Amino acid sequence: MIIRLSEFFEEDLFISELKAKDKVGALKEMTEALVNSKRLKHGEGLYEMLQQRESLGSTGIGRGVAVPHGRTLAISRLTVIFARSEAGVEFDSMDGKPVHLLFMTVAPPQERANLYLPVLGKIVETVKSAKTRRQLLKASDFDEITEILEEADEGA
Amino acid sequence: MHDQLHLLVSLQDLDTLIKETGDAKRTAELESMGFSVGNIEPLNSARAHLIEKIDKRYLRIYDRLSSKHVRAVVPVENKTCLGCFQSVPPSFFSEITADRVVKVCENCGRILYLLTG
Repeated sequence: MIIRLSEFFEEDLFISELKAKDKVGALKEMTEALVNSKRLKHGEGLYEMLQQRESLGSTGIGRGVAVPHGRTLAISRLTVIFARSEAGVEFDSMDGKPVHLLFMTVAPPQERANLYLPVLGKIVETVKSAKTRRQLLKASDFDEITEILEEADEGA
Repeated sequence: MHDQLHLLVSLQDLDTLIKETGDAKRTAELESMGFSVGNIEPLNSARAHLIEKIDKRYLRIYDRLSSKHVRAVVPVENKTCLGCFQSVPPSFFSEITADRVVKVCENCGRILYLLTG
């Protein structure tokens, strides 16, 4: 399955600089962005689900990246909320370091296209590149983010 | 959202997570990506805590439906039940906002959750 990551990122679901400094705050802030975008009616359930997923093991995968994820009935299609933190967020990551790039990925359980795991895999693969991580952190606006992701999609 | 409906949606999400975590193939795939998927015990504890808050009559409906279907709670989208893909009658939409009670699909009996958009 060919996944073009750039197609899953949306400008109103991009948080250029998170206010939160820890995992709880970051998950809440990103969930709130989803509610504000009108793609989700209530944030509490999603936040609880993400916390439950985190209880299995942190989704902070190292290299300054976290990919909190899960399935919820409360959303109609696979959605990625992308956030950055220059200062870093304490995320209980595997390497013990703060995270600077966060890709919250949520999908409905009834998702028929079955994109959830392939999209998670594509995010992980894309951010393995130190150059891409640096570019995503330094991008001045969402258009630039899209260009970086498109370049990564083309290079796949 | 009606509080009991909110809790039933949370229960369904949690049961989805428990089921997926118990799927060895899926867990291996996540681990190969670099994610940590540890012991399921915290989820079982969360479930026990959650069901204490749910009205017993709704829990009985949920359990009965879960034994018959993959999901007991399903969204309504484009006026369609996403469990049986039958149209939901217009009365549902007035009742769900006016009464704020847990409603089931008239066709398949699953608990309905109205999605935004």
